[in-house]
Amino acid sequence: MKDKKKDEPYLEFIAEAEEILEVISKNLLTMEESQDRLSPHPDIINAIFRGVHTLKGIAGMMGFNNITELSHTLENLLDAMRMGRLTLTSVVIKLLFESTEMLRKLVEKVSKDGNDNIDATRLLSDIENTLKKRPEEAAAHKLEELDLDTNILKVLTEYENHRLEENLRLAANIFEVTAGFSLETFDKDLNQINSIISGFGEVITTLPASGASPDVGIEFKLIIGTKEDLIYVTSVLSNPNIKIREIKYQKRGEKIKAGEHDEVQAAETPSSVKSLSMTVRVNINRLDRLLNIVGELVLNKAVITHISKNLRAIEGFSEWALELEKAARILDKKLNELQEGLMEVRMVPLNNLFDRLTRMARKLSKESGKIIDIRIFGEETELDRLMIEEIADPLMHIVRNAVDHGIETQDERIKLGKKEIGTIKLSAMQKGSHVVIEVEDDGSGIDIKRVKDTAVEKGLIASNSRFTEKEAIDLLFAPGFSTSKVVTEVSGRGVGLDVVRKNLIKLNGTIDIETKEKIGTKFIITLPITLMILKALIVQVGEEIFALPINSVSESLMITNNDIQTVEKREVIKLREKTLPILRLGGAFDIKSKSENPERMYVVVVGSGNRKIGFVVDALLGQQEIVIKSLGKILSGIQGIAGATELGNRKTVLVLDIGALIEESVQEYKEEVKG
Amino acid sequence: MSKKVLVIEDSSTMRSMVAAIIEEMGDFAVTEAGSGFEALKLLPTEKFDLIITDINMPDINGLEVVNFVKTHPNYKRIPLIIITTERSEEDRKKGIALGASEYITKPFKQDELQEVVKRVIG
Repeated sequence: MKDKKKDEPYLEFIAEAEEILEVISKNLLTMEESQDRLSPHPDIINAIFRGVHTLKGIAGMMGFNNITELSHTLENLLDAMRMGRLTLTSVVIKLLFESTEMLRKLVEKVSKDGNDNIDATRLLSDIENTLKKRPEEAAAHKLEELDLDTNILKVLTEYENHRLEENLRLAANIFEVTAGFSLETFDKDLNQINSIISGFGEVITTLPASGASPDVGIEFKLIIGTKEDLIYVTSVLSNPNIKIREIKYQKRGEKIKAGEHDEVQAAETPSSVKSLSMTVRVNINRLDRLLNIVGELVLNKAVITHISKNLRAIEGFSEWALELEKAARILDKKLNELQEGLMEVRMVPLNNLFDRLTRMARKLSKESGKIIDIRIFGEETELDRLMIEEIADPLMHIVRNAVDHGIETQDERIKLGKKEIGTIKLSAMQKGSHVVIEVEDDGSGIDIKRVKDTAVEKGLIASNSRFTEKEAIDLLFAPGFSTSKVVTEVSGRGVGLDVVRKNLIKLNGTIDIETKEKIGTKFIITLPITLMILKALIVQVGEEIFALPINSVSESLMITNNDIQTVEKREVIKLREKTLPILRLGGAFDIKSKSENPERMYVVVVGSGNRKIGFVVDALLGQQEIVIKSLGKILSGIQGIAGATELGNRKTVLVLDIGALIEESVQEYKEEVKG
Repeated sequence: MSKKVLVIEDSSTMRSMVAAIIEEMGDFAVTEAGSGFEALKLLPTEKFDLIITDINMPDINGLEVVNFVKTHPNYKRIPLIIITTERSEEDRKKGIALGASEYITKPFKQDELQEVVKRVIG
């Protein structure tokens, strides 16, 4: 335990073993919860088998004999199951659970005492007894007689061979799917195709080939088994780049299912000629353009509604007005459907991004000599495609921070009595129309005192300023702030959390930090599912109503005229001993304030850090979720307006672009002072 | 110039062990791939002198890696060693038939692997 270099494979073993057991448990639970628990998807059994197989391999290399022996016996059981030599029964399921539990105990023993001395003989003999009861071997199908490229049979593993036979035995249809991809994206593309296939069948094997342009592209042949027919498979998989062929026995007489196949065959011939374009890849900009058009249409619809109302007042037109209103309502409904549909198309799951983050974290942890267990939850959560790209960098930054500053070195962790292996948890979940992404580490937490000291050092705050914990954490987001003592390879190069926050605010997202010294830190990022939906504070100025994205609002307060002072030709108010510049929205947009009581008005504080400003408004009308729509070409150039939205009462209101308004007012102020 | 070895293995423990064993031999630079897909992406980035691959992997199996390398115009000259288990004799035979130069059976000792590597690219 003293020699760190020597400990490395040992700790890596524990980390991987725990990871494997996690995967096994997850699959066992899926199996247990599935409707048909005694005939689970073959991928589930195979995943458990693979886990046990790997565990056996690495335990063998490390010389942990009990783990090796139990996983070896269990592997036999699972192999018999996946090869169809053993039927799954409740007894077998119970054995699987028990063995997993025992393996967990053994690995725990290794991590505590460095050995795996726990007696597991009873379990071993239970498994061996079960293995003795074998069903009769099913007659093998003649794979050689399949209309299949013989080269493919040469690369099938024994298990894949068995799956092919099993599919034939169950009278499933076999298809060969051929597709070409670019070398850069083939893994993503294939994963997509694989996840579609596992919805209706099974991928028996995935075979790469150099293809026609080996320097830039790669071709894959997938052999799949399914109960569905060719028409169905081509309809869900088709794409001009994908070719699908049904695999049958070469001799007609030996077809598994006679007769009904002819029909499918008929469909097969034309399908190979015409392009199978049931799915298409679309540039996201095209979808954006369509969404913008929908936005413009919504505004046009408002005009129609308005006209119909006026029309109703004119004698002799009321009937027409009613018809027009009805048509407008239908138009509205359909536009909403269209908008929702378009948004759905843009959604993609987070798993690719999470994979990238995991890989990066593993690499970084290796470089920094820390051993970190990375756990992922909710990677199936979907988010707008553009959004995923935009949050990649901020998330990488946060994960990097967690590896570099969060998780302590192994020695430190041992000294603190923590688990030797640090954990970083990446999770995502959908909450209403928002997605919450969390990055949690069980590292050292943020040293609030050091944050304050650094802020004083850098002149960001006065040495005597009093700060709550939350305000101190907020300092981390100040531009140019970094507490890291040494500039390391990993992070701490001065590009800090301010950039992260700025990027997230651009996406109408928020970021919060929860931290406990010595226990860990959690970054919580909340994002709207798409760039188009956001939470807004609805305010009134005169007759006009505006929506303010809530993520940039920090608080709102009521003031009277007496609270406003003028400093250097600029209106300000005092907010907790600090001066806050204010901007009268009525003045900015040339609106007459018609408030009944000019003595009472509201200030909405927006922005962050030294770019805080108060918007003066007449009334606060509450919070609401809004869908931002583009203003169209003519109005898109107006400063300070981000777009338009419609409130529940069908009134179209403008959404303020807070960043631009702050920028503008700071600019004006600077010019005034200079002048 | 040191020889470049690509190690394809989904178990990180096994992968780093194999890498460490080979690096210990001296003049070898090891690149690690955690899956067949990753290997396919790494192949065009460097000129490898040897590929060592596991058979049982989640995305594409090791036999398919062997077949891909041995039929690819740019890579077919790279020798391969497959890592097998005592369970998969059939797979081992297939791997050799597809053009793998050697195999090694898990669990193996350090010098066993070094021996095999020496035999293949000495």
